Amino acid sequence: MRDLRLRGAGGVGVYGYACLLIWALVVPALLPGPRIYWVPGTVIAVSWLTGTRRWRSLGDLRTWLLLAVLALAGAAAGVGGSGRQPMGALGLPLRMVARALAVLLAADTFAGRVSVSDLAALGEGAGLGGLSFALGVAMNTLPVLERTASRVWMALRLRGGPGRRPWRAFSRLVVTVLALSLGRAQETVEAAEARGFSPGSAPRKRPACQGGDLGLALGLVLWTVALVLVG
Amino acid sequence: MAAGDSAGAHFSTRDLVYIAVLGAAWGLVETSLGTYLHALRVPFRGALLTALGLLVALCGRALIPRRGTVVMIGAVTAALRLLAVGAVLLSPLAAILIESLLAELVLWAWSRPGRAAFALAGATGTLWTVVHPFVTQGLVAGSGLIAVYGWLIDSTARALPLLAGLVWLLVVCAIAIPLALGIVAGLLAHDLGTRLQERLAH
Repeated sequence: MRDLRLRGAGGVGVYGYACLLIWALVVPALLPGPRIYWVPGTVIAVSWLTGTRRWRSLGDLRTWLLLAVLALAGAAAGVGGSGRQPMGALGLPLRMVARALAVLLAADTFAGRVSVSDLAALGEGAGLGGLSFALGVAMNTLPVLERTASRVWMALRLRGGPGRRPWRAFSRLVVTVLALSLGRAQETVEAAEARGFSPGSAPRKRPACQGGDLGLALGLVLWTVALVLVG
Repeated sequence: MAAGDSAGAHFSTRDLVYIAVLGAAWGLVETSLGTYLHALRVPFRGALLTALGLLVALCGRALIPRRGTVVMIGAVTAALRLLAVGAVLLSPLAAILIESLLAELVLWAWSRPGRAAFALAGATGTLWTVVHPFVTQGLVAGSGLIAVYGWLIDSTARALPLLAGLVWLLVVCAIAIPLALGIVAGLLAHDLGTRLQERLAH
């Protein structure tokens, strides 16, 4: 379980990391030729400077499989359709791999550095009032729900399983699991109300835009202009 | 009342707790059943998981007749998924949010959504599973992917000319199966939501 209080280092918060992710998605389309290789380099540099020391996706075999498939498919398409590819046979796969690496690392940085509570607060600010409260309740409900589903499924199996009417058994299973869980949730409602919780009165906190967010956004814009014009 | 709608953006404490339970139920479907389906490489597993998830979310909409319920349940599920899985799988997280948003947008058009509205909401949400891989692949690999797909289609058509007609059949199946699953999920959610309401009232 990740630390819910984890905050972005270096004054960069949810908006800054979102900017980095959007930058990694958008900017490769603006950069012709080998200038695209600056994009993953920039993402790694920003990510490192803001405190990321380990990228989970680099330790995942699926990431390397994805990059290998992209390289092979790009190379095959470059050779097979070389008449239509201005970048040549090798340019296409390298561009695809560079872009994929940049997007994966930016997404990795975003998910690793931004706390779930910040994301919930962002959702609340966007109009999803009560999301933080609902998320807290959901986290506590999950193990109970798992046990309930397991018991109801076991009871169904002991009575002979779905039998000749699997559709009816499925409906009963869903209704029983949800009704039992929602019935138990009534206790949570009473406990919250006894503590004076009211969704209407709870303040909606939007994550504050930090100085590092603005600095990063401005830096990325200037860097993009430099890459497009000068590079 | 089962699938009716009431004005007002604020949820009560009870609504929020119900949203939490239903979000957790969708999360449970994704993490437990999803693991089995992915391990067994079941065809159309994405559409099946989405249909089951939307079944739960639309049940919630029948129980809590307020606009925004399905999106809230989707947001809770996505956040739980982020907590459970971590950084690598952002694609399913985005899929959950978009599917719930699409279903919500369809229901938004009705002041009192009935069975047809629920079926349409389920179908719209589930149909996203057809589009989603292309969107995420496009985001990750960029415009180079168009060249790759173009080359794949060209070379396949040249190598297997007899199978060219089957491509249309595959496309129809790829759309029709998620569509059917979504419609069934929507209709079932409407009925189960009503039954749940009756059961909780006792």
